[in-house]
Amino acid sequence: MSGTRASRWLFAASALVAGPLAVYGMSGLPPFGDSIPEYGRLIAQIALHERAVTNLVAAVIFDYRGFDTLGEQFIIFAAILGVAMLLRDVQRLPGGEPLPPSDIPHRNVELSDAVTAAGRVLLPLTLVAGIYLVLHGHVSAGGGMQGGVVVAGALLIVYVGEGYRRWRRITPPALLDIGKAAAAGAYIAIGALPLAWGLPFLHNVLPLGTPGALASGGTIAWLNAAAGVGVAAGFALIFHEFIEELQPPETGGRR
Amino acid sequence: MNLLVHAVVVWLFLIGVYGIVTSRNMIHMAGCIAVAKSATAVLLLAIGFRDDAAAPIRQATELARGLRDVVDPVVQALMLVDVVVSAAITALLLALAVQYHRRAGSMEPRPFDAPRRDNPGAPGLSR
Repeated sequence: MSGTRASRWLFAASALVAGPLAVYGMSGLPPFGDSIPEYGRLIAQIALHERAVTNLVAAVIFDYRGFDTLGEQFIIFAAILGVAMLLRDVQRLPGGEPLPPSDIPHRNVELSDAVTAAGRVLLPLTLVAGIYLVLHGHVSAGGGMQGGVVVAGALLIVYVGEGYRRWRRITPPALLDIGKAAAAGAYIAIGALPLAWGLPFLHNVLPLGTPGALASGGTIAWLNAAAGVGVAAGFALIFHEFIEELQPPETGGRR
Repeated sequence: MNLLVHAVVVWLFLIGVYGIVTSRNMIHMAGCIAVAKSATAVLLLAIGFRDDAAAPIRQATELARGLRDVVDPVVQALMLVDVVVSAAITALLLALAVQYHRRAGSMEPRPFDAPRRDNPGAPGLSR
């Protein structure tokens, strides 16, 4: 197609200019592996004393740059809203006519015993690993967001191993909606707590505790848990929207 | 070494954009966007990396024994946020692809007549 050929030429011409220019633009950066930026160096120096958290990344995400994480939570929120709005209520066109059945084959697959058995072994292990990652996010490697994704993935094992009906019973979308909204609300509520003392939004007002202990870091641990619940519920909602694309209406899907 | 890292960053970005430009499939295009975006991951981690430094996880004993050198926790936080957000954005792009397929009857990005009430014979409906 001529359109494709023209766009290829346009790409080649732009790449030949933009590529070398970008390499030249980055040539002023400090040598690789030599030093780290001052802001990160400073936080690495003070976070353990000042905030009693051992995971410096958690200190950045939920304390020093906690306000940015609030924005990030709402980016995820908006993306999930977008997925839900795009995929829900699609059987009918704006004019009211039902859409023709799509050509994806109906997926009413017999579950394999081997997959079910493997799922029953994997589900508790994955779930515990995810919850561990969320709860210890401010102490060791891990965190609310990573653990939240693992928890959502563990729930997905129910769909793979036990089928759609059980997956839907174990993760009712209404509950996930509440979980996602409550987590976003909790983040704001924890952030607004210091306002009562006349301190800035997201100021770390809770007792900091001993570094390395589960109860440490003050608000960091709570914001971390809120983010974990939010990400887990959010990703489970995304899975719901896509899985319902494959299900016949009588089981609650929209095929 | 600097030149190599920056060349990889630019190459990753450009190869992703090339995929977007030439893509004939919406799902493939969502993958290309992820490739182009991963250039920022390499650049950020290269900026925050430091030779002979530990991961940015401290031990409580460092309070007494002195702090070890660690790599930059700020860029790692940025990357963590980027991974979670881009997973959600990819889901959004794939939902768009599902809707596109339903309306256009194909995954190929091209102009099509959207099925409307006053145009029931449009390709999207006739399939």
